[in-house]
Amino acid sequence: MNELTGQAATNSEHPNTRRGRLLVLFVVFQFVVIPLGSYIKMIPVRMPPHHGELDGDLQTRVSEPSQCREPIQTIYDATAWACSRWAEVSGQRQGWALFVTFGDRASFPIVELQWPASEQRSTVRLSSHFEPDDPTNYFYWPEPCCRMWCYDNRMVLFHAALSRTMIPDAEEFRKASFDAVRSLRRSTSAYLRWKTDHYLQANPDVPPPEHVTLIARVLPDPRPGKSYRDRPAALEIPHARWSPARTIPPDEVPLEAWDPLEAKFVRLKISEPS
Amino acid sequence: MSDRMTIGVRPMLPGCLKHWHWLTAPVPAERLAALRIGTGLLLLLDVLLTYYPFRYDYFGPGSLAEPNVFIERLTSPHWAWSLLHWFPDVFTPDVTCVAWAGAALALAIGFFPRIAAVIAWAFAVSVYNTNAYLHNSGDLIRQHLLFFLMLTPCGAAWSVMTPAGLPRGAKASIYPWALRLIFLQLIVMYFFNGVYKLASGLHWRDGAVMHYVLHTPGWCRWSPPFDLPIWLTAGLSYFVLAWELLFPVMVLIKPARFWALMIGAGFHVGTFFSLEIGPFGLYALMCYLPLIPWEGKTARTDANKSDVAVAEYLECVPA
Repeated sequence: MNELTGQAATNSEHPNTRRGRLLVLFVVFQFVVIPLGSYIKMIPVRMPPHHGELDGDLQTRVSEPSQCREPIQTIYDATAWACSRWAEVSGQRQGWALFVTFGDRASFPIVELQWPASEQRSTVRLSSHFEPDDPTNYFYWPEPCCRMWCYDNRMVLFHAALSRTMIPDAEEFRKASFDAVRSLRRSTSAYLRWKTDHYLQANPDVPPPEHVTLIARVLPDPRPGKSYRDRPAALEIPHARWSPARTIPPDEVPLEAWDPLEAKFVRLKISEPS
Repeated sequence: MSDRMTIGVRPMLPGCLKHWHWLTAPVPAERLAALRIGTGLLLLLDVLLTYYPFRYDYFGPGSLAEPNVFIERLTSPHWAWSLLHWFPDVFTPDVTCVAWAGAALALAIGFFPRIAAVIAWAFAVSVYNTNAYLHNSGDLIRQHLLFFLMLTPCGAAWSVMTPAGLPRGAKASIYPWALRLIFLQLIVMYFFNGVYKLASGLHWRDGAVMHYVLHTPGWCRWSPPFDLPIWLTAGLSYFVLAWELLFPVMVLIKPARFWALMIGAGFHVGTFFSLEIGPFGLYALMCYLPLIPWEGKTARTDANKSDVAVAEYLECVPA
């Protein structure tokens, strides 16, 4: 007899079995870790700052380690560590902050292929599939290539999220811009190479380009209260440049970064402090 | 429920938890089966439509994931893992997509459903970690759903394979802990979204965010056909924020529960068609499937009763 429901003849295992006890531990653990995994992201913990490809981790870091209160800080640190490792192993990642910092502009990647003057070829511009011809008048259905939007978007996310208005200090903005190229150097290199490969496969008679440039095409939104037709003019900001034939020293970023102050591409060291 | 046989391991919950009817009383297995079928079919479509045609672009040599673009998350101090990274010669783009689609199909029809869920979960995690930039939070929901499906007797109903011990034609019930955890996940997801928006979403606080969402090409699938008044976009912004923050409370109050869930379902359907967020909305809707009385209770519901009465059948929160 099922003591909970009064129903007869079940084939469920008696709770006092090893599996039943393990299941209890798991269920209780889950009831704790699901909310805790999100909550702990908001508590500052001692964790080295993240550099590298975007990982979407929302974990708040302690800004002044010397002012931490012990032993509670150690408990926070350990909890954040345990929740993060569990999330990575199980795929049960927490930390939900969807559309939180939605900006006021769109940013689309443009890949520009350039050949040496001796080739006498015009520059080729490869636009994003997701950029509408007319941003004031467009519509499209959900598409199978929707996942590519996520990748496209991240390539120029820096220019959608940040601008000189938000970082008025020119030197600070330059550092942030260099950091963006340095952190996303692997994905940006792969993206530029992939776009180039696709173009060359479609045009087998064309030689490899000398330079491949990633440009952010920024479409500012109309301000609230303005008509949807009153979109500010789009602007294009060079972001990074890849030179397929260039030999890259092991300590150097395989891309050149656009220097917004000097208005030219510059080389970066991978470990350069920013 | 008296004619049903309960399938699965019964957790011996401690203290007051074991007397919590919501958490312990078996529920019709159709609830879990609906989640299994919905998730399996959606995953099958996802793999066949959004991965398979682009598999060489997304995975393997020369793809957007190579060489080792996302290696940082697979190395110390992180514990993330990927079958595609560990065994690149075995899990080629072709093998990955075919095996993953096969597992999704098996899950949907209930052919060794838990093993199918394990395989589908392993590929979901592996693919996410191999090329992270293809994915968004909808794919995290996918991983959560598959994780719970592989730990539960999800084939106890509407399955081509009858669970061991269940007589032919007999109906099954299951312990509801996994369905409750999925619902807890849904609550946590909405609530913390609201908290983050309130804490650090400048345009959520000033009410401008929906204006920007609806006017940002790329994110929005359509340009506004006419000028949207500020009161409308600001009202929408605050409505979404309030709904997310109040969701945990609304589902505890019977008269508000139905509407909290209806708003959520409507929100996901609406954003699927209007925003470039891939299958996020559809995977989120899968979390709602166990809340529907698939076992047929609604057929006995008095048609004259109000929505509140229908909502009482949504066995999602403590009664």
